[in-house]
Amino acid sequence: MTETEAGRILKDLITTRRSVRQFTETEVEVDRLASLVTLGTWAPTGGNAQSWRFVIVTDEPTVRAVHAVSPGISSPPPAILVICQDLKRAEELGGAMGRDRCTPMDTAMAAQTIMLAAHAERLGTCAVLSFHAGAVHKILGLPDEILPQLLLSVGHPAKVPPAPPRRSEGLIHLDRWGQYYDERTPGLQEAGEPRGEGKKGGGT
Amino acid sequence: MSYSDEKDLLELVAFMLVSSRNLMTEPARYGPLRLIEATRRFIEVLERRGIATAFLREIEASASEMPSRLMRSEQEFFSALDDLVETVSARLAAPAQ
Repeated sequence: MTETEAGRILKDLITTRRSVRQFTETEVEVDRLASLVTLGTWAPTGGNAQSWRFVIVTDEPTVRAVHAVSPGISSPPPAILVICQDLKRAEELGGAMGRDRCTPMDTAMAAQTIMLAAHAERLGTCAVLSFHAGAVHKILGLPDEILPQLLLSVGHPAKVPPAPPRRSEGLIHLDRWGQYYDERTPGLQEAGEPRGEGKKGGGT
Repeated sequence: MSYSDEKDLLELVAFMLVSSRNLMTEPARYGPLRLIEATRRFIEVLERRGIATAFLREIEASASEMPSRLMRSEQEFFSALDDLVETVSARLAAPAQ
């Protein structure tokens, strides 16, 4: 397999991104955060609904207030990106499926795109689902139809944790359940290890 | 009590109340993490008032490592938490200076 330079860089970004929970006090410029959000909007959405809405929070009292109602955020980061969904729009375009099933996935795909883009700029991020949506709604003055679905802490990393081990055994099945693909694929290798080609293995 | 003092404490109160509410639907193993985080945030409040001892600051530093430890391995998390409890217990048992 021929690896392109872009592919190598992308693999490196994917495998070296970590959930960063400790940040320096250095601010992150709003323009920079907005650029990351714009990149996030290139992520796919169910039925091309594009029903996300984003709130960039950098004002310190507001960051602290959101932090207080977000047990998943350890220390107040320099910035919090609040990924919201316009449920009214999602329902109009996709019905109940669009509102209930597509929006969490659309949010997650935008979040991962933003986190990789941030990592490429040496910014740390952490996706946080442990927060009180009603409290965040009130603190940010969100309209009724806007639901905060995911928070991203963003800042300059003070400490980058080591990678948790990746599961590999029994992870990939080939053609039918129980026929394992028994080599770790390049994408599952840890950063820095030699990349193999992977091959089809005998099923069990 | 000043407005900023109350706000500082309110943030801790909000954290504990939201944790209590959210833990009803969150994974059980988040419970220990929230208690550790409450410990850490309480020490931070003391630090901002200049009344946290060096020992408490060490506890706070150890507590801040716990979420990453749990994400890596439950065994590592239990072991580090046992160490922390032993450290605090030894301090409790130490004669007054």
